[in-house]
Amino acid sequence: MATHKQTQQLSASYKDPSGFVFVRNGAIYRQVNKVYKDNYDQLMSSGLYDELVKNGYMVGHSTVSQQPQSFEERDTQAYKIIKPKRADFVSYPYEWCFSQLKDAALLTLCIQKMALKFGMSLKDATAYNIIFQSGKPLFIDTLSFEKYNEGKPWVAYRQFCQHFVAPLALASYRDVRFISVLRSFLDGFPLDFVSSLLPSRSILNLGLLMHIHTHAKTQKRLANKKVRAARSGTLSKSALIAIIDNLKGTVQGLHLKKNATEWGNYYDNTNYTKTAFDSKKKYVAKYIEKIKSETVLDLGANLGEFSRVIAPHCGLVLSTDYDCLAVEKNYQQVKLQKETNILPLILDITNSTPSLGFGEEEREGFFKRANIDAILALALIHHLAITFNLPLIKISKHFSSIASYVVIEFVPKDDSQVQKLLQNREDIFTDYCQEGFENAFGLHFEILQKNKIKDSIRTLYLLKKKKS
Amino acid sequence: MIYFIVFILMLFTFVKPAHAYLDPGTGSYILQIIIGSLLAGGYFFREKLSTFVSFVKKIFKKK
Repeated sequence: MATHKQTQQLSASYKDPSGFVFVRNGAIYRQVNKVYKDNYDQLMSSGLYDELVKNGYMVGHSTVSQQPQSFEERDTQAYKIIKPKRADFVSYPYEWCFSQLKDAALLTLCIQKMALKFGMSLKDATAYNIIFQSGKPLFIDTLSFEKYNEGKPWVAYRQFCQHFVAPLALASYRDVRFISVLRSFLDGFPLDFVSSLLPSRSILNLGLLMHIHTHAKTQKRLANKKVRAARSGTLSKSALIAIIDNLKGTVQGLHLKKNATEWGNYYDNTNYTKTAFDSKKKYVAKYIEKIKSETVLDLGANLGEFSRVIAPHCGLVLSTDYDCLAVEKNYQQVKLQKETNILPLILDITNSTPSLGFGEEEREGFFKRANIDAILALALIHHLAITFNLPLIKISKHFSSIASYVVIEFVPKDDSQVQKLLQNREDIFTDYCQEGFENAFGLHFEILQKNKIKDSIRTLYLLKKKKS
Repeated sequence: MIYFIVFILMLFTFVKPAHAYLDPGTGSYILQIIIGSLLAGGYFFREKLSTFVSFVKKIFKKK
C-alpha cells in the first residue's frame, strides 16, 4: 500500500467532481469517480475515445485495476483508475506563441465537433486542457466529455471565447505580447476587458462582434435576469454546429501583423564567420552528446538553430526565447518539418513564470514543472550580465539550481556584440571577463571541457554541477 | 442580408450595463440561442429575426 508521501493529488486538480489527477511514485494517474460513470462508459464504448486517440487529438490511457491502487480515502468514490500516456512537458497558454494558441483553439473546436457526432459534448473549453506533445497540440482532459442533450446551449462557449478568441484577437489587433498577460487571468481574458481594448475596426469582424463585443455586453446586461428567451429558447444541434463552425472561421481568420521584433531577424546580424559558426555547432553537438541528457533547456534559443543541432542527441529540447516572433517562427518550422522533440516556448529567464492560482499552487511555475538535465546558454551571458545587469555569481547559482549540466558560451568584452551593448552606457562591469566568469561559475560547477571557437574570440564551456 | 445581422448585433453594443453581481452564464446562453439561429439561418431567418428584434426592443425598453 503506497504511503501518503508517495501519493499526492495534483494541486490544480480539484474543481471537477468527475475525478482528479494524482501522482503515485512519480507516475500520473487519473481517478474516475462514480458520478462520471455513465459519461465515461459512453466515451469509451461509443467510439469517440478511439477516434480521438487514433487521430492524435487526445492522450490515450490504460485502465489500472481499481483495488488496491486507488487513491486512499477516496476509494468509495472511485469508479476506475486510468493511467494516461506520459507527456513530455506540461506548458501553459501564457508560454505559447500565437500559432500555438491558435492551433490549440482549433483542436478544441475539432474535438467538440467530433464529440457531437458521438452524442457527447465538452463540459469545458479551457486552454489548460491542452499541452504540446511531439510538436503538436494534444487534449489531455479525458473526463471533460458529457452526454449531449439536444436543445441545451454549449456550456463551454463562454470559456472558449475567453481562453482562445479573446487573447488571439488582442494579439492580432493590438500586440502579440498580450498572450503572456494570460498569466494574470487564469480563466482567460474577461470579455469586457478585451472588448474595451480592441480597436473599433474589430467590430467589422463579424465573429469578433458576436463572440467578443456582443458577448461582453450580454454578460453585463443580462446577468441574473430571467429573460423569456432563456426559458423558451433552445439551441438545435445544427445551430450549435453553426456556432462552432463560425468560431472556427473566426479563429482561422486571426493573423499576426507582419512586423519585425528586435530578435526576429537575429541570424542576419550576428558576427560569426561560417568557420566560426560551424566550429560552434560542432562543439555544442559534441558536448550534448557526451552528457546524454533527457531534457535540455535552450535559453535564448531564438529561431532554434542550435536546438536543432542538439535535438538528435537528447530526449526533448525546450527551445525557449522571450521574443514572441522568434518563438513563432521556430514553431512554424517545427510544424513544417514535423519535428517531434523540439518544443518552442516563450520564456523570459529574467522573469520566468511563477506559480499562480489559489495558494500559488494551481498553475506551477516553469521550473517546478520542468525537470531539466542540461541548460544551453549560447550567445546569452553578455545579455544577462550587461543588458540586465545580473551578477555572474547570481546567474551561476540560478543555473545550478535548475540543471546538472550547462553548455555555455562566454562572450568577452572585446566582442563586437558586447561593444554594441556598451556603446551608450557606462561600463560598470568590472568583473565581466573570462577569469571573472570562470570564478563565478567555478563556485557551483566544475569545467569538464573548454574550447575556443575557431575564428572567434568566444569560448564554449561544458560545466557539471559540483556535488554539494 | 449580412449587414442586417450586423446592424442588429451592433444594437447590443450600445446597451447600458446592469449593476448587479455578475452572472456570466445567462448572457452566454442567450447569445448562443440568438446567434445560433441566425447562423443556422436560411429559411428560418425571417421568423427568428422578428423574435430577435422584439427581444432587442425589450432590452432597449428596460432603461
